[in-house]
Amino acid sequence: MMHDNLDPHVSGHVEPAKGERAEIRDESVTDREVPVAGASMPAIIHAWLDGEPVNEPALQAAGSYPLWRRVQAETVDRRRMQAPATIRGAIMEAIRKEG
Amino acid sequence: MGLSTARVRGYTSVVKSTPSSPQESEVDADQAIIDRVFAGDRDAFGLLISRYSDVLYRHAVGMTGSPDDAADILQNSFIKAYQHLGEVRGRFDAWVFRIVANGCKDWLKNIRRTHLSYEEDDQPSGYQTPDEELDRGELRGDLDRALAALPVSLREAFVMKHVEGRSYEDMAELLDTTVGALKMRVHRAREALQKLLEEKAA
Repeated sequence: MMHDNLDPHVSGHVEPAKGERAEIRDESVTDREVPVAGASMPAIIHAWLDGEPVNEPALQAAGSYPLWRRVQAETVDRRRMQAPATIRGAIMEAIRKEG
Repeated sequence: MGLSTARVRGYTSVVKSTPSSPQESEVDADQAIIDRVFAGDRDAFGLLISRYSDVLYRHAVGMTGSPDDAADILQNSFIKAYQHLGEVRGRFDAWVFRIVANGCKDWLKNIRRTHLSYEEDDQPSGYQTPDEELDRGELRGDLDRALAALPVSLREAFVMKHVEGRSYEDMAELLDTTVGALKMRVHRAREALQKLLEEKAA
Protein backbone atom coordinates (compact mmCIF):
# COMPACT_ATOMS: atom_id res chain seq x y z
CA MET A 1 0.00 0.00 0.00
CA MET A 2 1.27 3.48 -0.81
CA HIS A 3 1.27 6.21 1.75
CA ASP A 4 1.58 9.94 1.30
CA ASN A 5 4.93 11.22 2.38
CA LEU A 6 4.09 13.97 4.85
CA ASP A 7 7.61 15.32 5.04
CA PRO A 8 7.12 18.83 3.59
CA HIS A 9 10.61 18.91 2.11
CA VAL A 10 10.05 15.65 0.27
CA SER A 11 6.51 16.37 -0.91
CA GLY A 12 7.56 19.74 -2.27
CA HIS A 13 5.39 21.58 0.21
CA VAL A 14 7.29 24.20 2.17
CA GLU A 15 5.70 25.71 5.24
CA PRO A 16 5.57 29.48 4.76
CA ALA A 17 7.55 31.73 7.03
CA LYS A 18 5.50 33.48 9.74
CA GLY A 19 5.23 36.75 7.84
CA GLU A 20 3.96 35.03 4.71
CA ARG A 21 0.85 33.61 6.35
CA ALA A 22 -1.12 36.85 6.29
CA GLU A 23 -0.39 37.26 2.59
CA ILE A 24 -1.60 33.78 1.86
CA ARG A 25 -4.81 34.39 3.81
CA ASP A 26 -5.38 37.59 1.87
CA GLU A 27 -5.24 35.73 -1.41
CA SER A 28 -8.35 33.82 -0.43
CA VAL A 29 -10.44 36.97 -0.53
CA THR A 30 -8.79 38.81 -3.38
CA ASP A 31 -8.55 38.01 -7.05
CA ARG A 32 -7.77 34.51 -8.12
CA GLU A 33 -8.91 32.37 -10.96
CA VAL A 34 -11.97 30.27 -10.31
CA PRO A 35 -12.08 26.96 -12.08
CA VAL A 36 -15.40 26.76 -13.85
CA ALA A 37 -14.83 23.64 -15.88
CA GLY A 38 -17.98 21.61 -16.14
CA ALA A 39 -20.29 24.52 -15.49
CA SER A 40 -20.87 25.66 -19.00
CA MET A 41 -23.77 28.07 -19.30
CA PRO A 42 -25.58 28.42 -22.61
CA ALA A 43 -25.00 31.78 -24.31
CA ILE A 44 -28.74 32.37 -24.38
CA ILE A 45 -28.83 32.41 -20.55
CA HIS A 46 -26.08 35.03 -20.42
CA ALA A 47 -27.90 37.07 -23.06
CA TRP A 48 -31.17 36.87 -21.15
CA LEU A 49 -29.50 37.82 -17.87
CA ASP A 50 -27.83 40.75 -19.66
CA GLY A 51 -31.26 41.99 -20.71
CA GLU A 52 -30.85 41.21 -24.38
CA PRO A 53 -33.82 40.03 -26.45
CA VAL A 54 -33.87 36.23 -26.71
CA ASN A 55 -36.01 33.54 -28.27
CA GLU A 56 -38.38 32.54 -25.47
CA PRO A 57 -38.85 28.83 -26.36
CA ALA A 58 -35.08 28.39 -26.80
CA LEU A 59 -34.48 30.10 -23.45
CA GLN A 60 -36.92 27.87 -21.63
CA ALA A 61 -35.37 24.80 -23.22
CA ALA A 62 -31.89 25.75 -21.96
CA GLY A 63 -30.69 23.38 -19.25
CA SER A 64 -29.85 25.88 -16.54
CA TYR A 65 -32.83 28.15 -17.13
CA PRO A 66 -34.84 26.99 -14.06
CA LEU A 67 -31.88 27.67 -11.76
CA TRP A 68 -31.21 31.11 -13.20
CA ARG A 69 -34.89 32.03 -13.20
CA ARG A 70 -34.85 31.46 -9.43
CA VAL A 71 -31.54 33.28 -8.94
CA GLN A 72 -32.81 36.18 -11.04
CA ALA A 73 -36.01 36.38 -8.94
CA GLU A 74 -33.91 36.43 -5.77
CA THR A 75 -31.50 39.12 -6.96
CA VAL A 76 -34.32 41.30 -8.25
CA ASP A 77 -35.97 40.89 -4.85
CA ARG A 78 -32.79 42.11 -3.18
CA ARG A 79 -32.95 45.34 -5.17
CA ARG A 80 -35.75 46.41 -2.83
CA MET A 81 -33.48 46.18 0.20
CA GLN A 82 -33.21 49.50 1.99
CA ALA A 83 -30.61 50.94 4.33
CA PRO A 84 -31.70 50.99 7.99
CA ALA A 85 -33.91 53.99 8.66
CA THR A 86 -31.65 55.08 11.51
CA ILE A 87 -28.50 55.38 9.44
CA ARG A 88 -28.99 58.93 8.19
CA GLY A 89 -29.54 60.18 11.73
CA ALA A 90 -26.51 58.30 13.03
CA ILE A 91 -24.26 59.76 10.34
CA MET A 92 -25.52 63.31 10.83
CA GLU A 93 -25.09 62.96 14.59
CA ALA A 94 -21.48 61.84 14.12
CA ILE A 95 -20.85 64.78 11.79
CA ARG A 96 -22.34 67.26 14.29
CA LYS A 97 -20.21 65.82 17.10
CA GLU A 98 -17.18 66.36 14.93
CA GLY A 99 -17.97 70.06 15.22
CA MET B 1 -14.94 70.79 11.48
CA GLY B 2 -12.96 68.38 9.37
CA LEU B 3 -14.54 69.50 6.13
CA SER B 4 -11.98 70.70 3.61
CA THR B 5 -12.82 73.99 1.94
CA ALA B 6 -10.56 73.41 -1.04
CA ARG B 7 -12.86 73.27 -4.06
CA VAL B 8 -12.11 72.77 -7.69
CA ARG B 9 -14.59 73.93 -10.29
CA GLY B 10 -15.05 72.40 -13.72
CA TYR B 11 -17.29 69.63 -12.41
CA THR B 12 -20.06 70.24 -14.92
CA SER B 13 -17.76 70.15 -17.92
CA VAL B 14 -16.35 66.79 -16.79
CA VAL B 15 -19.83 65.36 -16.50
CA LYS B 16 -21.00 66.72 -19.84
CA SER B 17 -18.15 65.01 -21.66
CA THR B 18 -19.11 61.64 -20.21
CA PRO B 19 -22.01 60.14 -22.17
CA SER B 20 -22.60 57.19 -19.84
CA SER B 21 -23.09 59.42 -16.80
CA PRO B 22 -26.37 59.43 -14.92
CA GLN B 23 -28.90 62.12 -15.75
CA GLU B 24 -27.28 65.52 -15.74
CA SER B 25 -30.08 66.87 -13.60
CA GLU B 26 -29.13 64.42 -10.83
CA VAL B 27 -25.47 65.32 -11.09
CA ASP B 28 -26.30 69.02 -10.99
CA ALA B 29 -28.58 68.42 -8.01
CA ASP B 30 -25.71 66.71 -6.17
CA GLN B 31 -23.46 69.63 -6.97
CA ALA B 32 -26.05 72.07 -5.68
CA ILE B 33 -26.25 70.14 -2.41
CA ILE B 34 -22.47 70.10 -2.08
CA ASP B 35 -22.44 73.86 -2.66
CA ARG B 36 -25.00 74.28 0.13
CA VAL B 37 -22.81 72.26 2.50
CA PHE B 38 -19.84 74.46 1.68
CA ALA B 39 -21.99 77.53 2.21
CA GLY B 40 -22.54 76.40 5.80
CA ASP B 41 -25.70 74.29 5.51
CA ARG B 42 -24.22 71.15 7.04
CA ASP B 43 -27.61 69.42 7.27
CA ALA B 44 -27.89 69.46 3.47
CA PHE B 45 -25.43 66.57 3.48
CA GLY B 46 -28.32 64.46 4.76
CA LEU B 47 -29.92 64.81 1.32
CA LEU B 48 -26.94 63.04 -0.25
CA ILE B 49 -27.22 60.28 2.34
CA SER B 50 -30.92 59.83 1.56
CA ARG B 51 -30.25 59.80 -2.17
CA TYR B 52 -27.54 57.14 -2.20
CA SER B 53 -27.73 55.13 1.02
CA ASP B 54 -30.03 52.39 -0.29
CA VAL B 55 -28.02 51.45 -3.37
CA LEU B 56 -24.75 51.66 -1.45
CA TYR B 57 -26.19 49.57 1.36
CA ARG B 58 -27.20 46.89 -1.17
CA HIS B 59 -23.65 46.88 -2.47
CA ALA B 60 -22.21 46.51 1.03
CA VAL B 61 -24.64 43.73 1.99
CA GLY B 62 -23.90 41.95 -1.28
CA MET B 63 -20.17 42.14 -0.66
CA THR B 64 -20.13 41.32 3.06
CA GLY B 65 -23.23 39.15 3.44
CA SER B 66 -23.77 40.92 6.77
CA PRO B 67 -26.42 43.66 7.15
CA ASP B 68 -24.84 44.90 10.40
CA ASP B 69 -21.35 45.18 8.94
CA ALA B 70 -22.79 46.74 5.79
CA ALA B 71 -24.47 49.43 7.91
CA ASP B 72 -21.18 50.11 9.71
CA ILE B 73 -19.29 50.37 6.42
CA LEU B 74 -21.94 52.71 5.03
CA GLN B 75 -21.86 54.94 8.11
CA ASN B 76 -18.07 55.19 8.15
CA SER B 77 -18.00 55.81 4.40
CA PHE B 78 -20.44 58.73 4.53
CA ILE B 79 -18.55 60.29 7.44
CA LYS B 80 -15.34 59.96 5.44
CA ALA B 81 -17.12 61.43 2.41
CA TYR B 82 -18.21 64.43 4.46
CA GLN B 83 -14.71 64.97 5.79
CA HIS B 84 -13.24 64.89 2.29
CA LEU B 85 -16.07 66.52 0.37
CA GLY B 86 -13.64 69.07 -1.05
CA GLU B 87 -11.89 66.29 -2.93
CA VAL B 88 -14.88 65.32 -5.07
CA ARG B 89 -13.95 65.31 -8.74
CA GLY B 90 -16.72 64.48 -11.17
CA ARG B 91 -19.76 62.48 -10.07
CA PHE B 92 -20.42 62.47 -6.35
CA ASP B 93 -22.22 59.11 -6.60
CA ALA B 94 -19.19 57.50 -8.27
CA TRP B 95 -16.84 59.02 -5.73
CA VAL B 96 -18.83 57.87 -2.70
CA PHE B 97 -19.33 54.46 -4.33
CA ARG B 98 -15.57 54.01 -4.44
CA ILE B 99 -15.29 54.87 -0.75
CA VAL B 100 -17.91 52.23 0.10
CA ALA B 101 -16.40 49.67 -2.29
CA ASN B 102 -12.97 50.14 -0.71
CA GLY B 103 -14.53 49.86 2.74
CA CYS B 104 -16.02 46.52 1.72
CA LYS B 105 -12.70 45.28 0.36
CA ASP B 106 -10.90 46.29 3.55
CA TRP B 107 -13.55 44.45 5.54
CA LEU B 108 -13.11 41.35 3.41
CA LYS B 109 -9.37 41.42 3.93
CA ASN B 110 -9.85 41.41 7.68
CA ILE B 111 -12.70 38.98 8.02
CA ARG B 112 -12.03 35.32 8.59
CA ARG B 113 -15.53 34.06 8.34
CA THR B 114 -16.41 31.76 5.51
CA HIS B 115 -20.04 31.23 6.33
CA LEU B 116 -22.16 34.30 5.78
CA SER B 117 -25.75 34.67 6.83
CA TYR B 118 -28.63 36.62 5.38
CA GLU B 119 -31.00 35.93 8.25
CA GLU B 120 -31.44 39.51 9.36
CA ASP B 121 -33.01 40.66 6.16
CA ASP B 122 -36.75 40.76 6.59
CA GLN B 123 -37.62 42.66 3.48
CA PRO B 124 -40.91 41.70 1.87
CA SER B 125 -40.62 39.06 -0.80
CA GLY B 126 -42.14 38.80 -4.23
CA TYR B 127 -42.87 35.09 -3.80
CA GLN B 128 -46.44 34.00 -3.45
CA THR B 129 -46.81 30.57 -1.82
CA PRO B 130 -45.33 28.92 1.31
CA ASP B 131 -43.49 26.42 -0.89
CA GLU B 132 -41.94 29.23 -2.86
CA GLU B 133 -40.98 30.98 0.39
CA LEU B 134 -39.28 27.81 1.65
CA ASP B 135 -37.54 27.33 -1.65
CA ARG B 136 -36.49 30.95 -1.59
CA GLY B 137 -34.98 30.68 1.87
CA GLU B 138 -32.86 27.73 0.77
CA LEU B 139 -31.74 29.46 -2.40
CA ARG B 140 -30.94 32.63 -0.47
CA GLY B 141 -28.57 30.81 1.87
CA ASP B 142 -26.98 28.84 -0.95
CA LEU B 143 -26.53 31.94 -3.05
CA ASP B 144 -24.89 33.83 -0.17
CA ARG B 145 -22.47 31.00 0.48
CA ALA B 146 -21.67 30.72 -3.21
CA LEU B 147 -21.14 34.49 -3.50
CA ALA B 148 -18.85 34.42 -0.47
CA ALA B 149 -16.71 31.80 -2.22
CA LEU B 150 -16.11 33.98 -5.27
CA PRO B 151 -13.02 36.14 -5.72
CA VAL B 152 -13.74 39.74 -4.75
CA SER B 153 -13.67 41.14 -8.29
CA LEU B 154 -16.19 38.58 -9.54
CA ARG B 155 -18.46 39.01 -6.53
CA GLU B 156 -18.33 42.78 -6.95
CA ALA B 157 -19.23 42.55 -10.63
CA PHE B 158 -22.10 40.11 -9.99
CA VAL B 159 -23.52 42.20 -7.13
CA MET B 160 -23.36 45.42 -9.15
CA LYS B 161 -25.00 43.82 -12.18
CA HIS B 162 -27.65 41.67 -10.52
CA VAL B 163 -28.31 43.04 -7.04
CA GLU B 164 -27.85 46.72 -7.81
CA GLY B 165 -29.24 46.36 -11.34
CA ARG B 166 -26.57 48.58 -12.91
CA SER B 167 -25.78 48.75 -16.61
CA TYR B 168 -22.38 47.59 -17.81
CA GLU B 169 -21.68 51.18 -18.88
CA ASP B 170 -22.35 52.52 -15.39
CA MET B 171 -20.27 49.74 -13.83
CA ALA B 172 -17.39 50.52 -16.18
CA GLU B 173 -17.45 54.15 -15.15
CA LEU B 174 -17.62 53.35 -11.45
CA LEU B 175 -14.86 50.75 -11.57
CA ASP B 176 -12.75 52.59 -14.14
CA THR B 177 -12.53 49.68 -16.53
CA THR B 178 -14.10 48.56 -19.81
CA VAL B 179 -17.53 47.15 -20.56
CA GLY B 180 -15.89 44.10 -22.14
CA ALA B 181 -13.83 43.36 -19.05
CA LEU B 182 -16.90 43.65 -16.84
CA LYS B 183 -19.00 41.41 -19.07
CA MET B 184 -16.24 38.84 -18.77
CA ARG B 185 -16.21 39.15 -14.97
CA VAL B 186 -19.98 38.85 -14.71
CA HIS B 187 -20.03 35.84 -17.03
CA ARG B 188 -17.25 34.17 -15.05
CA ALA B 189 -19.10 34.91 -11.83
CA ARG B 190 -22.27 33.28 -13.20
CA GLU B 191 -20.37 30.21 -14.37
CA ALA B 192 -18.71 29.83 -10.99
CA LEU B 193 -21.99 30.38 -9.12
CA GLN B 194 -23.80 27.85 -11.26
CA LYS B 195 -21.12 25.28 -10.57
CA LEU B 196 -21.27 25.93 -6.83
CA LEU B 197 -25.08 25.87 -6.73
CA GLU B 198 -25.22 22.67 -8.78
CA GLU B 199 -22.68 21.02 -6.50
CA LYS B 200 -24.80 21.98 -3.51
CA ALA B 201 -27.92 20.52 -5.14
CA ALA B 202 -26.18 17.27 -6.15
